[in-house]
Amino acid sequence: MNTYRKGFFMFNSMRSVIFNTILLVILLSCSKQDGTTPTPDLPANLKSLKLEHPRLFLTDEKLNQLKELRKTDAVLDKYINTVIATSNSLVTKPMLTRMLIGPRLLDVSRELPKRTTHLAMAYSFTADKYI
Amino acid sequence: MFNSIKPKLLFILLVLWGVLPKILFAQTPKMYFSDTSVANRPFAKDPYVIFFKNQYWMYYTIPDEFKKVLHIGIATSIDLNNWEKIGDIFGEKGTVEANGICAPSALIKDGVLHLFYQTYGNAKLDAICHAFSKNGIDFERDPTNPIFRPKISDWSCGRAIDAEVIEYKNQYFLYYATRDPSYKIQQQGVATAPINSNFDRNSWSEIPNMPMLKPELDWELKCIEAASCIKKGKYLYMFYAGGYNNEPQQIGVAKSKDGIHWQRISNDPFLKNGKKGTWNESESGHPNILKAENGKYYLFFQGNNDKGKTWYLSNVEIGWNKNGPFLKN
Repeated sequence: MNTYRKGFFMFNSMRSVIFNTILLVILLSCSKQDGTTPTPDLPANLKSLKLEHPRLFLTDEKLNQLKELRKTDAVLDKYINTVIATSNSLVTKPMLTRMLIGPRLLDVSRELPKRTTHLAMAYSFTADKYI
Repeated sequence: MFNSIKPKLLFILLVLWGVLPKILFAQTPKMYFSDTSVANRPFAKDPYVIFFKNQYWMYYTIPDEFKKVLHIGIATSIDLNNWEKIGDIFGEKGTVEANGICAPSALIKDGVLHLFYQTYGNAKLDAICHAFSKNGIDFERDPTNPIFRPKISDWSCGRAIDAEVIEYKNQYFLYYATRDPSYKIQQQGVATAPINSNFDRNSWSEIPNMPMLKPELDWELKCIEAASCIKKGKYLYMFYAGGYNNEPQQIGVAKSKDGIHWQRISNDPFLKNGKKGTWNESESGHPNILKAENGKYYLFFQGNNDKGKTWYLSNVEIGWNKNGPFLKN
C-alpha cells in the first residue's frame, strides 16, 4: 500500500515537473521580442532560427492566417469564439494560489495551463489586455 | 441585574439590526449598472444621460463579445438608478466607424436627438462622428462623418475623442480630447458652430491657442479627457477626468465664463476613486453631469475595482454653493 502511494506521489510530482517544463517552453516561445534586444551571436547550425517571437507553435504568420480563415470558416470561428468566451469568464476569477488539497496540487496544476493557453490565445485574437 | 441589562442588550441589538445591513451593503451604490451582453464580463463605460420622450436615456460604451470591437449601448430609466438595456448602435462597416465607436454625448434640438461619438481603433485618425434620431434608438448618420478632428499641429496629433456638445452663449461648443504630437499627453480642445448649425463637418471652427486645459496637477498625471459641461449661474462648469484609466482616473471641475478659458475650482479631485475594498477603488472616471427633471443634479461616472477587467456605471447627487458644485452625502 505504502509503495503504491509513494509511487503515486512520485508519478504526480514527475508529471508536475514535466508539465511545468512544457509550460515554460510554451511561455518562452510566446514572449514578445523586445525591439532593443541585441541579436545573439548564433552558431552556424542555428543561423536559420527565426528571431522574432512567438517562434515555435503559433507564429504571427499563422495567427494572421487564422484571423483571415475565421471569416469564411464557421467552424473555426466557433472554436475561436469558444476560447474567447471561456477567457471572458476566466479573467474575473481570483488568481491561482499554491493551495494543497491534502498532499495534492493537481487541481491548480491543471487549471494553470488551461488559463494560460486560453488567455494567451484569446489575447492574440482580441488584443484585450485583460484576457 | 439581568433585568437592567436586558433592555440595554435589546437596544444594542435593535441598533445593530438597523445599522448592519447598511454596513454590509454599503459597497454597492444605488445605481450600479453594467451591460451583461458579454457573459461573465460586466462592461459599461463612458455614460451619457439625457431626458427624451418622458424617460431618461443612457448611451454608453461596450465591446462585442468575440472581437472586442467597441460600440454604443442604449438603456432607459425613469428613476436614474434602475436601467434597462434596450438597444445597441454598431459602427457602420465600410466607413470610418468600422473599427469601433464609443464615448457618446447627446443633445436635443427641435425634437431630434443628436448623438456625437468618436471612432475607436484608428489611433491618431480617430475623430468625432454625428448621428441623429427621432426615437432614440434608430440613428441616421451624418453624411459628412467624421465631422471633426483638429488639425495636426505643434499641440495636437490630430486625434479627437470624447466629444461633448453644448449650447452656450448662442452657439454650440464641441469639447474634445486629443493627444500631443508625441501621443503621450491627453488634453482638451474646443471648436464652435453657429446656433443654426446642422452639426455637419463644415459647421465647426477650431478655436486657436489650444490646449484649453492640459494636465498640470499631480493627480491629473498625463491626461485630461471626457469633458462634461453644464451652465449654472454666470459660469459654465466642466467636469473632467484626470489620469488615464485606472491610474486611477478621477474627476475634477473647472469653470469658465466664455467656454474657452478655464479655471480649476480646486487643486484636489472633486470625485476621487474609492477606498480599498470598495466597488470603485481602481477608478471614478469619465464624468457626465445631468440636471434631472426634478431639478436635482447628478454626476454619472464609470468605475471598477479590478483595474479594468470589468466596468460599472453609477451616479452621485451634487449640490451647489457659491464656490460651485459639491458632493452631497
